[in-house]
Amino acid sequence: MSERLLTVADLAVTYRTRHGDVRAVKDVSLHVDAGETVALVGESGSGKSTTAAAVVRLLADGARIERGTVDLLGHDVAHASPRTLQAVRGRLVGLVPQDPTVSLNPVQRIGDQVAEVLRIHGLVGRRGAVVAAVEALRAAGLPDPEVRARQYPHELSGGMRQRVLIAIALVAKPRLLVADEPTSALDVTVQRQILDHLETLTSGTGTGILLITHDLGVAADRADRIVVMSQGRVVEHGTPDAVLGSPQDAYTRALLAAAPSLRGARVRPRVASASSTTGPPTVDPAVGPVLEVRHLVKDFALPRSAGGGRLRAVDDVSFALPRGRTLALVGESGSGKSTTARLALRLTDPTSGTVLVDGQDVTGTHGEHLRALRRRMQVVYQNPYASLDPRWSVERIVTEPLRAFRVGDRRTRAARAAELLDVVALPATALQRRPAELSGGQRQRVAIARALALQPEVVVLDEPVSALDVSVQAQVLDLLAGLQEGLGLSYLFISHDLAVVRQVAHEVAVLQHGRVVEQGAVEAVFADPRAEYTAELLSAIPGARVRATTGGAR
Amino acid sequence: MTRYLAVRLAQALGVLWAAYTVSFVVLYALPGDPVSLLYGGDSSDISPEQLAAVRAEYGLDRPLPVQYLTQLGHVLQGDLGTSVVNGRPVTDLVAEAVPPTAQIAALGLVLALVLGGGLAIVATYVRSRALSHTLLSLPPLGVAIPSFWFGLTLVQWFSFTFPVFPAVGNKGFASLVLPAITLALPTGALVAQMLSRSLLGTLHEPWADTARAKGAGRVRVHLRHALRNAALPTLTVTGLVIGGLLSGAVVTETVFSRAGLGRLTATSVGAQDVPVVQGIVLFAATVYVLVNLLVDVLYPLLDPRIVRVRRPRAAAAPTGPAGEPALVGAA
Repeated sequence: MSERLLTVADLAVTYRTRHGDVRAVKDVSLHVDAGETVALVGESGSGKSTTAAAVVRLLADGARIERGTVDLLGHDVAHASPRTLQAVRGRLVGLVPQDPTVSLNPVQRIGDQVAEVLRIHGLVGRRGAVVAAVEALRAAGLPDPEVRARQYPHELSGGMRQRVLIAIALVAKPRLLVADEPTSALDVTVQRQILDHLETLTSGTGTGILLITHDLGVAADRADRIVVMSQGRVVEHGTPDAVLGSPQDAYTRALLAAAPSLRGARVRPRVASASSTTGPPTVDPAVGPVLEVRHLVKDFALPRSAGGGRLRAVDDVSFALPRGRTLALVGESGSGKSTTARLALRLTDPTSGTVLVDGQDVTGTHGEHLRALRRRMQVVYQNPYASLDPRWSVERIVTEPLRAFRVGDRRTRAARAAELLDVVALPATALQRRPAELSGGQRQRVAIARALALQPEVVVLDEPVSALDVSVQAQVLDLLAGLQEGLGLSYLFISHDLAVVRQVAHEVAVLQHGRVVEQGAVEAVFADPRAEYTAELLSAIPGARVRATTGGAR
Repeated sequence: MTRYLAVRLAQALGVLWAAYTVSFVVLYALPGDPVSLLYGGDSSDISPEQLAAVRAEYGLDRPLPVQYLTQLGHVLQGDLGTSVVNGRPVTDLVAEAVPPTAQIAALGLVLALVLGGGLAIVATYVRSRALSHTLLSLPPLGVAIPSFWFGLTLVQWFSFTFPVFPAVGNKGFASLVLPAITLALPTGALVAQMLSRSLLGTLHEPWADTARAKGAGRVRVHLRHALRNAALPTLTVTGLVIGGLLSGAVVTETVFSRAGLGRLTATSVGAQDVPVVQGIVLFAATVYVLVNLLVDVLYPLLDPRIVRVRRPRAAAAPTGPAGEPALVGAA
């Protein structure tokens, strides 16, 4: 039996807040052995990140370990002195944080930040640390590590920064690695590369990994054991096959049913079945597409410091969105999908190309006509925490478009607000609440209600579920599908998540570097991708292992 | 860099011109003129003809635009005119007044940065919540205390009760201490306020946790990681408060009866000695412009993210990898 690295027993952590104590972690026990990867899975608020923070004792202010022990190779982390903690952190346990874009000191060179670990623990001298840092960066899969070591964080992409953080976590060769959602902020293909790399880095050295993730697909692919958390407690644990194959707990089953990466393959997507009965026949071939773009090009001038010149963000993009259907624009960050959507919405002017609404060229429309056009096309944004004014009531938020276009009077607008909340399945009592009093899913419903206020024909959904938990994601996607059917809406659905796209879209356009590399019906593209890039994106969807073992593939 | 400096210098000249012009308009819009004030106005026994002659001598009888342009021409040649009170060249008067003021301002700035910065670092470092809160409440107090009262209190204690420092005068280093402390109080309080707020913010940044996860101790996280990031906004404020030091010198030098730019300002404004006041305005504006130019040049050295390019829109944008602009500014 391999060495036990970490034992967490009966852990309870409480946050002291203005509204009283919040028990984030109520009762968690788990262990990690050498050479083992344990995935801690749960939704936001389940206490998984708090558990991870407790393992390295990096809890937020106001958080207190009420009960339980954290034993890391004989060190009682839960009660250790600052001196002991400093000796343990970095040396025995490395941490890979959640968001690489904000987890590196912006004013320090990459190499210095990696070397600092060695310097703190007095492992090598100054010169040795520099060499070791470059080697660690190389091992983490960063190209040109000598050059990168002299650069600053903002000069690197998100994926590269996460590799730097992995180098920092592993440079002192710790026995245990705690990775808190290490790839949630990254594109799928980058996510796969990073997770692959973590595996190879640790497999030879017997390093144990505690992997915190909300994605059951990732857990299934990567972990030797899975621990499922809900509301501060461990509700299920076991091997991936046991947990995902025959889940004992109701919560695990719900989570499993909602996980997009597993769901699309396991159950027949509800939207697809809806479209199979009401789909193609409702599209009258005589009626043209509600929104069409032809040969769109958008250039951005680069700052002089970057050598000037122009960046072609959107390069000859054409697509048509049939009435009542969903067209997904898929691509990774920087692929030009959001810029394309902005062009289609006429929020930005294209360098060349045309935008047609109902067959009418609106590329040059401006002034009052453009305002009229805005009524027909509305947007739902990615982050419902940022897209709603925190000081406004839900009623005020939802009726703002009506006020902006002087639709109705105060009374009819209030009635419309209540009606809209009903449409998005929110209780009327939510009308007087403020965004802060609502959950993420509820906020996104409010954002959808606002988009529907003016009865638009086209709704642009910009990553509408990316910021939401999987179970909430599923509910919002179902809501959107229902609205489409009921109101005959046409969706332009922007997403990086192919698993989600597979569930909701009828047609898909895959973008890479501003170009459409593949376009067609979702079923066809997913079953038989012709572009290499599409195939790569598809294979990067986590959860392949489960899909294979449960035989749920199409 | 050269191009950047050239642009900034051109902007600086524009600011100086604006400062000069505004002060000209304001000063000449005041009722009365220096000559009538000087010769006792209506009650004097000088005949209107004589007054007119003096006015003509100073060029005060000509139309305002002409006066403005002639004076501007002189200024461009380095001639700031002569004092209407004692007839000495303005450049000489200002040049004499600058060194004593520069001494207390420099000492005051050093004290403000050291004490204000130190207070901010200690207040955000101490573990005791009560002590931290007490220390953090000091800067607002420091800003609120009137300088003249604080100066008089210092004199009362350290010159009369315990005669350590002289109460008045310009002699020796000892005479600098109390005025410098008086000047440093509001400035240091501002620095402390700014730096402690930034430090509290940076200590909660995710990258500070990354440093802690490396095994870094509190001192290292505080000084090596948080401080440099927190110093950036403080640097901007420091550039602004140096202007404040000059205006603070007016009160301080009056309280401590010191010769210097502040006193010169006070007496010249009181006597409506317009050329001298304008000379001081021009000097103060020059200092202000140069300090802020220096701050702007220093900024990129401290923050690698700042590239010296005029990017009006991208200035506040996160410096992530070249991503697409988000879908902001909805229909």
